[in-house]
Amino acid sequence: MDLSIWIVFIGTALIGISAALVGTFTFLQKKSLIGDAISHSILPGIVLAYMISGQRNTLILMLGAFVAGWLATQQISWLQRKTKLKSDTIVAATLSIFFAVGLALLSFIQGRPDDGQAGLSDFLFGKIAALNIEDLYLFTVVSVLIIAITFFRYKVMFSFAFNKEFMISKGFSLRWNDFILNSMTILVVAMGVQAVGVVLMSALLIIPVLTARMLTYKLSSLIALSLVFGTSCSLLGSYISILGKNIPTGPCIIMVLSICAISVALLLKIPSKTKRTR
Amino acid sequence: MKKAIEITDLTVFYRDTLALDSVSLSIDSGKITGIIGPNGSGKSTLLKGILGIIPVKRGEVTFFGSSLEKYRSKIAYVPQRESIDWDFPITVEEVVAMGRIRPKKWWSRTTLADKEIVKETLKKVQLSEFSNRQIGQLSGGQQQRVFLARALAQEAELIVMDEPFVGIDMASQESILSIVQKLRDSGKTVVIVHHDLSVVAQYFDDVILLNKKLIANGPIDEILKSENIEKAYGMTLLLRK
Repeated sequence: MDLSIWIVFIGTALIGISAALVGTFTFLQKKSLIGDAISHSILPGIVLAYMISGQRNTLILMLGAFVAGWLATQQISWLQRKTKLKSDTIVAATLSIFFAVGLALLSFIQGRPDDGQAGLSDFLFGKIAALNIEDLYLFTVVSVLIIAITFFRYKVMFSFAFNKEFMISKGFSLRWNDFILNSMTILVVAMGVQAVGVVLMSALLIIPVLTARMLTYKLSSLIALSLVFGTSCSLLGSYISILGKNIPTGPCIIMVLSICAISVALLLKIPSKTKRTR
Repeated sequence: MKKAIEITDLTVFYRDTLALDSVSLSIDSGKITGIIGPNGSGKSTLLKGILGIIPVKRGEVTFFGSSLEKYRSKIAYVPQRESIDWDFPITVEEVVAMGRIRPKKWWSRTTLADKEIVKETLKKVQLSEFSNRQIGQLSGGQQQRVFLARALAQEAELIVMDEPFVGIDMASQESILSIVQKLRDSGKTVVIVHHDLSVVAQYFDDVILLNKKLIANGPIDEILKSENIEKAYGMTLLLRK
């Protein structure tokens, strides 16, 4: 196999691993929608970063993505504190506003003669084949960071997800915990959109863990199974997308993941372990 | 008698609604103190306010003369049943182990000593055989004992419990009360939020009657005078024995 195929597979695996880890904790925190909000919100960040820098450099685009994603999460938590609006309303509104701005900017640069938009529309549905070796280095750094934070903090994040009042009473900072989880989510989304695109990124966070949740109620197995589902389905999905010339990677990965989730659900018929038995 | 908690002028708002109106009181150490009042009277708000779980408008709270920040590690908080997601993928053992997590550590790991403490507290509340069950699979009384075990695992001096006797069977009630009494007898301070003055209230040493304001505060026998109860509940009916 030539180098570019290896880059694709390693890149996909890193995205799959990181997304499954972060997704497990956003799922436990019942913040699955935040992943969706962040992934849609980073589009204007990516496009603006490109417009300002004038080049399609992954590091710069990810920086733009990070800033936009961070602004979106700040807006969400600010509105939650200051208004009586329900949080799904706030998340939906934030997501659409940022995404609209992103799409508008995208069509604006599409209309410019100079650059042919540098393949920025790949960010909508993902195109894993566009990865190069520098991207891979960056992905490795981000993934190692995410794995390290998870390793050292999983117990605190898990406990916060289960019973935040208790954790606050013990003197843990809710804001700090939210900040770390949000930052991890933004990082993994900024990395993952290159493979699956902003539209489908949240599925990559949620589907592995919800598939795992059907099979276990233990944290360790939940993480392990999410990793297995997330990574293997991402690899298979991107392989299929490379085989078929013009299929975008995102839909392929998400379809493989969905088939996997549905199969597990069917095999279990009624997933008994997620139900309470009294 | 040493004061475990001293509260001065505690006032709490939920958005624009007044939940606690300038409450000042003190709680003795080494006793079981019940905080009693009707629904919406601010009992849980009082607990959450003094523990810094919700923001307070104004007021001061000290624990054995120290600030909350200094004393925090010696407080164990048992939240209300309703606030718990019983479908959450967590086992009995993992809940109790939460009692051993310490803040300000960059790596939150469980030591062997922690594991030993978790095991022993599970034995104390008679739940050893359930340690690997998901918490939703237990009965109401067992669930409440899991959370009591978590508080015990904290090895705290002050144990604060929010409505621990709701939705549980007699046997569990007995067993929780006996553990609470043992805690008191070993010198710990226990504060329990409870909704009425029926059976369990007789196990309290002191009682605080609350209805957004402090109605009365003192030893159980004195407090049970009907005029106080009328003030707290706004009606003569009361579940006295």
